[in-house]
Amino acid sequence: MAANATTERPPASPKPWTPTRGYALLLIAPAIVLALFFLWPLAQVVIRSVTEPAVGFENYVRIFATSTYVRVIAYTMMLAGTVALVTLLLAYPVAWMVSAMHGSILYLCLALILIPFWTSVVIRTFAWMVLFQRRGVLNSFLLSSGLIDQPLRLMHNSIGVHIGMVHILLPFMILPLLSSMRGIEPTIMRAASVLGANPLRQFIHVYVPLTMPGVSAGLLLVFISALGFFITPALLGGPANMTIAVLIEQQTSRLLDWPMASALATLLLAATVLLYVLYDRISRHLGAAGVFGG
Amino acid sequence: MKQRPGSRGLNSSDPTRRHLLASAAGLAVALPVIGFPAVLRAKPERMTIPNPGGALEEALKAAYFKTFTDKTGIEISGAPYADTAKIKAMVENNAVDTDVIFTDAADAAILAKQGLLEPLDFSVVDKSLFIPEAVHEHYLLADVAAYAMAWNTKSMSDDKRPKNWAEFFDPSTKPGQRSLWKYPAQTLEVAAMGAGQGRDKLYPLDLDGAFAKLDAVKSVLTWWDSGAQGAQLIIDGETDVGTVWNGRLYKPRKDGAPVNYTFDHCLYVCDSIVVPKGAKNKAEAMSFIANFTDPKNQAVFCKNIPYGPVNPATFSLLDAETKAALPNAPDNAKTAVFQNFGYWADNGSMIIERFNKWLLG
Repeated sequence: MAANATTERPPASPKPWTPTRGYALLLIAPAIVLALFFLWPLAQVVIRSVTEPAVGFENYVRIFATSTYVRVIAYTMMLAGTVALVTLLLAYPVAWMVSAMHGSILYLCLALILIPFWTSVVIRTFAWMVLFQRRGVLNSFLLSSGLIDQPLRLMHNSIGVHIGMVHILLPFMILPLLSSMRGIEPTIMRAASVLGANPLRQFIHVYVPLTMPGVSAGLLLVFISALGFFITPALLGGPANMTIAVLIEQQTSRLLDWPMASALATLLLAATVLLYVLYDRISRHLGAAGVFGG
Repeated sequence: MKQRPGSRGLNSSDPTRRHLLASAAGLAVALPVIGFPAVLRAKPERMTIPNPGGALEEALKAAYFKTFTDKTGIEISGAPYADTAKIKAMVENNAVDTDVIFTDAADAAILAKQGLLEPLDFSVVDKSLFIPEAVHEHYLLADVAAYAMAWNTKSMSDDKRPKNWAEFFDPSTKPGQRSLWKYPAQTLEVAAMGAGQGRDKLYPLDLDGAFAKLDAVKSVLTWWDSGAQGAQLIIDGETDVGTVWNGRLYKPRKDGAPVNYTFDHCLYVCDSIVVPKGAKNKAEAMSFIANFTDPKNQAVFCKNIPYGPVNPATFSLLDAETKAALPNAPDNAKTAVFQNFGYWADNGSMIIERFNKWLLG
């Protein structure tokens, strides 16, 4: 830019044009799309929940006066929490192994992780049903081999829901873990070793803290996805494994009571946002305290 | 999953040119109200009719779509099922892009209650042709299916199976794993019958009695969520006796699967025809429904899918084998009862809360 250009219009353009600011402009289009097709409908949901059938909190009073809704919301949160933890425990070793691989074996492993990820949730849930039912593949095998003499109850209960959901959500955990693990410089681990840390210590005090961003991202992704699960709990769960999504569907499509459905959806949204904020605060706090190796 | 269309009424008059002219006159009166000058509106070249799809859509095409096109030249194409939520959104946002919809009758009753449907024009559609249960101000039953008792013939011989709902809900006299649809409508009706409520005074439902019957089978009960799953449970012997929608077991039984079912004490559940509020071609929609009433067309429908007609004149056009598969054929109808769709539209919310609470235990 010529010097006289800046002197001629002093305050209007305080910052020079930079590529970063240019890239920010690219965000305008997605922002408009999000505002129109996501934020606005979401706002309508929230508004409907307090304006119909009359202005006020009638729908919320009904929810909290009915023990069923409160129990289902609590169960949904707990289910999402335990699924996220189990997923983490299973995904961590897998991601750790895969992160050390190279070449075609790495690609093969990634394919094995991603292909199920691209398969329909309904199909994967039905596959578990075929395996798990009373006279399913697994029970038939165990019965005929004499390992058990009564069929195991593997579905229509919490066990079935957990297995199905963990399986479906594993890629959401493995992929963020993998990306943070592959970003760890091998030299850091060597440095720890040179400084006298044994392998266990290296792992706990150096490796794990460095993977915390992946752990956080994975836990959040899995937890929030699990909150909205519908098909898997409906098909693999028993009557007690009712999730909030099932109730919202009943109100939306069967009873056509949209204000009530909106109130339930708003509660789920509020709970999710609240948990996210809490989680963010805690991880910042721990991060600042150096616990996450930050 | 739970929807089956297929009723039809007899059309006393031929829905041809005269009808169209009459409908066009009706349209001319109606149109200024919705803001279109009548002269600008031509007969549509094509109509789209959402319906439950699958075998049902094939039957609808053969029986009603094709015959309507032959008479009027208006092409009809099927469209994916429009659930209540979709219809409500369409009507409320003034974006009604269909004129006729085949939908579950229980859904139709709720849509009617919320004022989302056009009233039917009974000057075009002759309601005297139908069984009385089929006729409602805003919807017409389209077929008669059954929520019926089915059993696996390998694990349950004919003398060991429950013969009625009282025995079904009493596992101590008729042992075996049970299955039911995990939804209060239909399931509570059969439970209430199990508790001794007569089919002639089934409504209002004896809810206390019905829930007590669910308690009685709780330890041997498997719930199903979709029609296919309900049928599969019985076919695989996962459960010994349970409820199904008859259309789901018709073919497996014919193909030799170890299953059987009975229309004794069954609950009639139905599809319906509705016209969404604000439909642009209301006159054509009514003449489509008039064509639907013709017993010749209903007979074609019943031969394609085992759901009964709503125009009783149809039965005289059917052979014995076809009639045996229809839930409301005279020989099958002796102990059956129609579901009361309006009852569920009025009480569904209260009952579903109680049902959910029961499920959670």
